[in-house]
Amino acid sequence: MIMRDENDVGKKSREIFQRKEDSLDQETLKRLESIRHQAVSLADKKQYSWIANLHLERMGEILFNPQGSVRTGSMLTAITAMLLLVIIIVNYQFTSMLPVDDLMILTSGEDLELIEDLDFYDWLLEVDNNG
Amino acid sequence: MMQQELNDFLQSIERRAYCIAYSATRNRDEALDIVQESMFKLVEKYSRQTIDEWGPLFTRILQSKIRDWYRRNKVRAGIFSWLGWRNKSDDIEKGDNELEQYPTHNSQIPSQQLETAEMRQGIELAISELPLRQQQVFVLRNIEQFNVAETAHTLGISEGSVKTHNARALQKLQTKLQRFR
Repeated sequence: MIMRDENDVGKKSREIFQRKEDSLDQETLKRLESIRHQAVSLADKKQYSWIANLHLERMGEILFNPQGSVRTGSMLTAITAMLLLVIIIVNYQFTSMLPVDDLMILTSGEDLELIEDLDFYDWLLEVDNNG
Repeated sequence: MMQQELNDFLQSIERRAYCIAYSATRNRDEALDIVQESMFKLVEKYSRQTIDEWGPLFTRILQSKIRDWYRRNKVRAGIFSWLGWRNKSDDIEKGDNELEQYPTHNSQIPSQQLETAEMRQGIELAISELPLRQQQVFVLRNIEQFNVAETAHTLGISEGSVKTHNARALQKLQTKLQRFR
C-alpha cells in the first residue's frame, strides 16, 4: 500500500491498530484478562458498599424529600439539622418545667424583702384559716 | 448482573486500550499498568454510570493516565539527565520493540510482506514519536474515529485545538512516512 495523502495515513494507522489488536501475544492477553478480572472483583466490593450507601440514601429520601433523591451529603446535613432541632425542643421543654413562680422571682427586678413579706402574709393567712 | 456487563465492556475495549497505551509508551509493562489504572478508576468512580457512558469515560481516563505517565516520565528523564544517568525507560524494551525484528527500508529483499511489516513499524514508531497532545488527538480522531467535538470533550481542549493538533500530526506523519510513497 502506498500512502498518497493524509486520509491514507489515518486509514493505514487504523488498519495497523486493528491488526495489532488481533495479533497480541498470549502473555499480554493473559495479563489483560487478569487485570479485567481484578477490576470486576473490585466492582463487587464497590457494589456492597454502594448498597449500604443506597439504604442510607433511601432513608434520607423517605425522611426529608419524598419527591426526589437526596444525596448522602445533604442527608447528613438534614440529620444534623434535625438533631439540633430535637436538642432545642428538649432544652425548651426542660426549661419550661421549672416552677413558674421561682422563675418569675429570679427574673423580676422586684425587691426580695417585699417578696419575703408576701410569703409571710401567705403563711399568716394559712395559720388563720387553720385556726 | 452489573459485573457481567462490566466484564463484557472491559473485554470489548481492553485490546484497543492496550494498543493505544503501547503506542504512547512503547513499553508493554507500562502500557499494561496504564490499562490497569484506567480500568480500576472506571470501576471505582464511574461503575454506577450507565453503560453507554462507560466508553467515553474510559477513553477520557485512559488519555488522562497516558498524560500522567508522560509527565512522570519527563520528570524522571530530566532528573536522570541532570544526574548524568541514562533513563532506563529510554531503552524502550529493545527486545519488545518489534521494529528491530524487521529489515530497514534499505533492505534489498523485494518482499511485499516485508514492506508491509516495515510500513507498520514505521507508522507505529512515527505515532509514538509525536508530541503527546498531537498523538492523543491523532489517536482519537483517526483510530477511535471520534469527531472533533467528542475529541475536544474527551481531552478537555477546544475544537480549534483539536483541528490544529490533528493537522500537525498528519503533516508530521506524512513527512516521516514519505519513504512509503
